[in-house]
This record gives sequence, C-alpha cells and structure tokens, in this order.
Amino acid sequence: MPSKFDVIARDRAYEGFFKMDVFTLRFELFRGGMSPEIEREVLIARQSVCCLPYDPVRDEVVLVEQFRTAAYAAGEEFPWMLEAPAGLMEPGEDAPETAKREVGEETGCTVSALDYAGPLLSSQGALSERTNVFIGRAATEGVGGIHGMESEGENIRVLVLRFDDAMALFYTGKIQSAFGAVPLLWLSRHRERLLREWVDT
Amino acid sequence: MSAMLLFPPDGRLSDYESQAGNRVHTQRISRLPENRPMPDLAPFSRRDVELVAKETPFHRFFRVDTYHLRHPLFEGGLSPVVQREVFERGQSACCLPYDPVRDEVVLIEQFRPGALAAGDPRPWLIEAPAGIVETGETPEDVVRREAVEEAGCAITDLEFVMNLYPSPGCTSERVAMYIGRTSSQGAGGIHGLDNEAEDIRVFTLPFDEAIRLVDEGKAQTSAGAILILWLALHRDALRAKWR
Repeated sequence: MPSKFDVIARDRAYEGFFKMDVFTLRFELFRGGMSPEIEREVLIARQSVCCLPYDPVRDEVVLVEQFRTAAYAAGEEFPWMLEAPAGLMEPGEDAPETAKREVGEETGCTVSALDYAGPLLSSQGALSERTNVFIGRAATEGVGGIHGMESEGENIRVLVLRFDDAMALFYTGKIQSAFGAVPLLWLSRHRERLLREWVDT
Repeated sequence: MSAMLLFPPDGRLSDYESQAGNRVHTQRISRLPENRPMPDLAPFSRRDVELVAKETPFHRFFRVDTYHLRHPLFEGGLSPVVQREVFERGQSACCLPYDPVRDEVVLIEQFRPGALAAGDPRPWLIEAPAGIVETGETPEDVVRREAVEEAGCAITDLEFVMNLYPSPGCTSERVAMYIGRTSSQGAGGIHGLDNEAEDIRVFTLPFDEAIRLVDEGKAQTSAGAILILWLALHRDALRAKWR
C-alpha cells in the first residue's frame, strides 16, 4: 500500500478570513512509482465539532436554523439551514469540551453524556476541515427561542423536534447540511442503543 | 421493509421540488405522525436577502468570494450588513455502488489533499466514487460515468439519497448523493485517468464490514458515513426493490 508523499512546496495563496494554501506535491502510486508533481489548492480550516442534542426520555432532538451565506451563494431558494449545533475547536480544547460549549452557546442545553460518531472530513478534495460528530444527551424541556451572538452577526433559531419529525424533515429534503444529516442518520441507527444506555442511568 | 418516514408536503416542499435537481422520493407516501403539524421553518427566501456587494479576493483554480449582505432576522427586521467569505464550489455528485445480490459495496481508495492538509499521517481515504457536474450534465450522468471511470462499475439503477451541503459554514459545494445498483462481481484493481493524476484502488466490501467501520467511527468522510448509514437504514427495502 502506498504511504509516501513529498510536499515540495506549501505556499499561502490567500489570507483573508479564510486561508488558502497551494501544495506542490508528489504521492506514491498504487501501480508503483511516484505521481508527477501536481499543484493542489486547499482551504485551511481548523478542526470542528458537531453535536446533536438528544433527549432520550422525550425522544426529542434540538436543531438550529440559521442563514448560511454559502447556501445563498449556491443559489438555494431557502438559504436557511437546519443543523445540529457546530463550531470550531478553540486552542487547548478537546472535542467533547467543544461539543458541550457549542451546544450551550447555541441552544442553552446542558450536555450530560456524549456518543461519538467519529472524525469526518467534510470535503476531502480541497478542504482540510475535519468535524468530530457527537450525539449529546440533553434535557429539551424549556429549550427554544432565538440565540446567537449579535456581535458576530449570528441569528440562530433553536427548534426542539420529535425524533420522527426531524427524520421526516430529512427525508423530504429539508435537512441538507452534513451537520444535520450525519448526526441524524447516526442517531437513527444507534437510537435503540442510546435509549438503553441513557435512560435510567 | 425498513421504515420509510412519511409526511404530507406543505408549501415549502413543493417549492423545494420545483428546484432543479431536487427530487423527493415518490415511494414515501405521505403520512403525518399522529396528525402533528410540522414545525414552521424560516419564513424567508433568498428574495428577502439584500446583496449589498460581492467581491472575488481569490481566484486561481478555486475561487473565494466575499459577500456583503443583509438578511432577515427571526425576530423581525433585517440584519446589519454582514461580511462573509464563501469558498465557491459548484455541484458535484457521489454514488455508492451496491450489489443487492452479493450484499457488497464497492469502494475506492485515493490520495486526498484535504486529508494531507488536515495532518493525516497517511492521507489516502476510502470513499464512494464522485465527480463534478459540469454545465449541461445531470448528476445522474456524472455518477454513472464516475462509477465506470473510478471503479469500473456499471450502474443499472440509482436511488437518490439527498442533496448535501458538506460544509455550509464555508463552502457553496453541494453534492447529489445516490446509492447505485451494480454487480460487484470482478470489481477491483487500479483505476483512474492518467491525465488527471488519478490513482485509485478499487475494492469490494461486504455490507456488514462497511457498516462496522462506520459504527466504529472509521468512516473518514461525511459523504461516506451518510451513504453507508442511509444504506443500513434502507437496505431491506432496496434489496426487495432491486431483487
């Protein structure tokens, strides 16, 4: 199995709010030898965390709805997206700490246990973003309303949904973000286990 | 049959379906669980957004645009002008080839720059075949072609999974996601186009092993996790349909 690669150069091609690096590289081929020298642009992103709050007693999830400029740029007719709370890991934070902080900041929920779905690259061809996906045990009673830091231009609506209703939204195409789809599909598959593990413990 | 979740369309759904490329499964017959109303989603559309200015601060192979815009707020009124960068990517399409008779998926392994930049010690990833949808192509055309080019697989039926925004906080990329019916017999070997510096290893995996990797947190990519989890939830129905 190939495992060798040479990064001949790595140049910062853009630095605004985003950072874009151009890699000049060669990599080992399955068929033997090394690839020709190629250039690849990669948008550099910090590790992030996505955590879907789930109340196993009420069988409810918490989703956040917000305007997404990238969806607007893509021509989406309704560029407001339904997602699990997500955010960047701060220096010195581990993924579970980020999950609890982001859920608290975006929804007001306290996460009391975490189920880890793994680290997932978002768009591996040209983006370095890796997202740690969790389900977080939470109590949804009293959760809701409009959140977000006005200073950062955030305007987030918090929705508490029955699990079945959240999946109905997914299956009718209304949950298009990976930060919604991945944790909801994970929860669909692992919900019975989580109900066993998280109720009465 | 695995459970298909069902509920009746509302105004937003018909709007959604009218968009190019968005098709909702007709097999999901409408049923509202316990007659509960679905929650009202944001009552805004893109026409409520005021685009003040747009610049392109970076443009080489890829492009970054900066949008200056005001959008409606949930509590009423318009936001102040916010400035947001977007990594502009177009439409792509991704398809997991699945053999319903042998109960196997076909996967590819390849070197990926995103994994390199993320610090992976061995930046080769296991994925489903995917490609960019160029003007004049449909996502279905692209996944059928990429399955052949990247994996040597003929796709005989396509099951639409979703339109995915892989990272809507930073990129406009969207991916039409499918499960594709194939025969995995003889699938394997090294594929890819020399002129695209593609070097791809193709292999088959029993479905049980694929979902075990996902359950262990080893899916590696969002798209891979979505397709294998979706297949796990709909596999019985799909095998009955494709028998």
